[in-house]
Amino acid sequence: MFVTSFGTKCPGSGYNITMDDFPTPPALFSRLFQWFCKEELYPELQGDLLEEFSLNTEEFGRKRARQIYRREVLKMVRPSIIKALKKTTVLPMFKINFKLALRGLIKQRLYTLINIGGLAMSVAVATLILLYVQSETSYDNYHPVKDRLYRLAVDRTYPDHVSSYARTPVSMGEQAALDFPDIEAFTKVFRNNGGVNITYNNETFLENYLVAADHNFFEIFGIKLIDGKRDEVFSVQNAAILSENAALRYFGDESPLGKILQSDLGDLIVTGVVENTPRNTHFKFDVMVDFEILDLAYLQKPNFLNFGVFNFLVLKEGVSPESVNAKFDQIVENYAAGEIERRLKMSFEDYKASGNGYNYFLQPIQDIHLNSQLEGEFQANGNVTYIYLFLAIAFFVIILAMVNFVNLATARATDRAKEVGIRKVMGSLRKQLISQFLIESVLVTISGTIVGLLLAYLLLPLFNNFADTQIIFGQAVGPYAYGALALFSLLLGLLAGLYPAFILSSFKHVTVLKGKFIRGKKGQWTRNGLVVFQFLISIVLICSTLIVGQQMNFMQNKNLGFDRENIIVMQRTGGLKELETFKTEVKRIPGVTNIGGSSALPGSSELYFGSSFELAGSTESIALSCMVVEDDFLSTMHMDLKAGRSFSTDFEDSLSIILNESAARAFGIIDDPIGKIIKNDRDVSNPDGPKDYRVVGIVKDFNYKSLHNEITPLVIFNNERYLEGTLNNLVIRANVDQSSSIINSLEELWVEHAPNQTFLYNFLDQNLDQLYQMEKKSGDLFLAFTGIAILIACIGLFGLATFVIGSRIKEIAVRKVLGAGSRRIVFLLMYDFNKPIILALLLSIPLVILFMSNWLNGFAYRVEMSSTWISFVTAGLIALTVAWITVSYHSIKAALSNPVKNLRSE
Amino acid sequence: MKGTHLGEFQEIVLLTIMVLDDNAYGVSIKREIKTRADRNISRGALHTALSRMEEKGLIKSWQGEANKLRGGMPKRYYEVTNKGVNALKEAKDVRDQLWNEVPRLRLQHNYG
Repeated sequence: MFVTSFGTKCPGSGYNITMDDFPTPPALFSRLFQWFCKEELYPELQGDLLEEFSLNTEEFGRKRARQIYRREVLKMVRPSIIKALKKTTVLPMFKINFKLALRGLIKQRLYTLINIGGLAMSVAVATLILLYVQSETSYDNYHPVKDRLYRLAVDRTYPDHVSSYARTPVSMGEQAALDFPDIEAFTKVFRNNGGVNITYNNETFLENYLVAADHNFFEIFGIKLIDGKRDEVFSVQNAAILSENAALRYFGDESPLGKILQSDLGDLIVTGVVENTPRNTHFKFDVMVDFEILDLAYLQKPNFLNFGVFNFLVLKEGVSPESVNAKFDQIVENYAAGEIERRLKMSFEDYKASGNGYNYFLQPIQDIHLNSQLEGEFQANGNVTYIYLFLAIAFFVIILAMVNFVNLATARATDRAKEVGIRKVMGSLRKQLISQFLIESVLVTISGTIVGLLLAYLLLPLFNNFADTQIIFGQAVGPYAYGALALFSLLLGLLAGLYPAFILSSFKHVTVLKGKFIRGKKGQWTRNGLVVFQFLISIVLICSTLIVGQQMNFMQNKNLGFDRENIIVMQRTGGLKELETFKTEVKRIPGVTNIGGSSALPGSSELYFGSSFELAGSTESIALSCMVVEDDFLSTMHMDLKAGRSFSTDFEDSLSIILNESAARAFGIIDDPIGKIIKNDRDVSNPDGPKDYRVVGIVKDFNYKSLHNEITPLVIFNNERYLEGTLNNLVIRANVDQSSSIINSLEELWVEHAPNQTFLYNFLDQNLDQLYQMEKKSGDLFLAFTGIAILIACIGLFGLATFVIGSRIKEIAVRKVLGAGSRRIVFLLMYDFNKPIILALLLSIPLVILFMSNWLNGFAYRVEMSSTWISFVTAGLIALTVAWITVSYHSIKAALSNPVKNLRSE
Repeated sequence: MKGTHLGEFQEIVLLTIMVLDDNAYGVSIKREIKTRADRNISRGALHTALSRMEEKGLIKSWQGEANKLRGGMPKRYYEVTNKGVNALKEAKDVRDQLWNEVPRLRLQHNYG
């Protein structure tokens, strides 16, 4: 087909032969070749190519022949064959256009500055966001077997709910590796939640990041050993491997190898130093010890029930994790079932029938950071939703800047119309004008991108600080990124320049030169549409920010069921030998009003333990969260009782329990709870066998988890029932105004009672605020982006105002001559700008409702969507006000101008 | 030698043209080199060699007939000029001389 079309261009002999019966070479490449080949060489070379092509088709088949053809065409690109650039008009024209574009840009300094500035801002924002996303998605990508490395996790089904845990029983991984041939290797890691005291040379540090691991840890994880021999780091049972930071902390310049550390776990010998855990890892450790050193029964004996350790499995090449997931049921069936039956004296079938179950599954190691929010995670993970959100923002900020660019360029049409007219009269072709405008816009986008990149570079330290990342510019931005940015700025320039280039070059020179620049009803829709679009984005952002703020505010002020203010929390008090004496002395400190100990605290959900219970006379067992408290805990926290009494020294409370309202409801005894007997089943946390407890009180529901979660049933035991050491936290109600003196006294007492233990305290309200760090941080980022978005939108509006008011200047002059006052004119002009903004506001409402109700769904306790109307009104008002301020400059200028000047022309 | 120094590839192309006699044009030259020397050369590379040698006057060319296979585009036939033949001979002489100078033993050793 193409041959006939080419044929007409090549004079010579019989070209009009149809080729329907021949296979055709790739049309794109044929055209390409025709385009770049010198005309005088074309018939010979193309003829040869075609002949060769049909010979090849016979010999090797169509596919191979086409392949050869393509390669041949590409190899034709050589100086002796391609058309010389010099002979065409492209280069000099480009030079002139470049010069003209530059002149135009310098002449309109303000516009250029606004354009480049806006673009630079959005490029900087987008770059920072992309860097952030890159760092967030790079987690655990450096392990040698990263693609086959999985973590075992479990969905545990209880009769009334499902919880998912990141930690799994200690024997699960090992047994799976033994039973399934698909598993190549496994390793397990245990993390001590409370921290461990380590002493060297009389200096004690609390190591919060102490882990215990199997010997093959360093074969599976890509963490590098700096000092010590890999085969020998676990050669002694009390080996300790330190991170660089920890080694520096204890030994400074000394060589750490072979040194002995005293710790809660006994003496440890340093056998190795590793690099600090890379930031992009979902776990972190400062001290690693041998798994076997831990003398915790549930870690050393075979155990298929307690969720205690992180199990990591390496699958063989080509094995899908789904196929392995399915097999874990066998292990539960074969090994866990017996244990359950022994402990609960109930058949596994009945256990399952009552709604219990274990679904084990594998998580790819690289997905953990963004996609895993299970209970018992090593540390709080990121959230992939925020990644998408930030990417969307990056995209929109760029779009905003582009829209701006288009708006400003069309707005300048009035100024440039004459130039276009003159050029057309002098013989400029439309094509040339378009290329001039395109070059201009590409010039702007390229400089904008460069400035933006520079801005991003300068802002990165600030951003790192803010987002708690450690991105290094030179490392994160490689040659690929620069290439992509160059391409991006070029494309952006072409895209943004296209519309103005076509509009401006379409002016009729006669009309334009007569001075009758028509207002151009045509473009009005586009321009207004663009403004609506910009304000839509801005309003959505403002509104979302406000709603995020409302929710944060709601959470900070919500009645949690206790008084969170004025509470100092002391941690690790389980080790205190004489707790009662300590408490009495604390109470004597001026400013302290009450003190109580407990095993868990509101907001620290990992400290609660689970156990199952039955109401006497019923066979249905229910899993409840449990905590142990002292007599004074509830009163110190100002928790209110709904019925009954609190624990008290006047009673023997070792077999008394207090339920929360949810638990009472779950048992169906909310109406008459006091005195009911609840049986605690024999299970992991209650190994001595079933025990009967009497309900003595009902405490009003209080939020012991974060507000993301509903309040679930809770049982509160008294510490009389438990041994020493369970009361790991002391809450102290004190006058916070005197906090510094109180804390000093506390520390003195602590040093006296618990030498060599680290003194740890914090304030409960601050602790609780920590739970919403992620939201707070995103909210702040949102605020920053919103500010930038509004700024960019205003730039666009400013440009539009110039244009619209510029084209109405005569109308204004006539009105003034006829007696209109300046104020009326200002209002008249500003009034017109309300419409697009109000339209944007209306359009934004469904969008915001859609996005934000989705976000709010992540919280069990949240502001109602209906009560967020105030945010919409505020957002609308902000948008309007900002728009008025922007437009007022031009309106007032126009209204105050001398009508004579404006009417004199024409 | 003066000015008519032949590159190795040029030499092969010249010889091929001579071998092909009346039928030396792009495709046939390319295919002949493929069968004889087992060298896959692109048409573009061949063009470079041909045009350079034509400039030097080692070959001349004329437009030939078109056919259906070629999409109706004419062939261009090449022929070696006397100057080209001389250049080839010169190159051959130089080589022959050099070969003659190589000691017999050395030659055999090379196969060892």
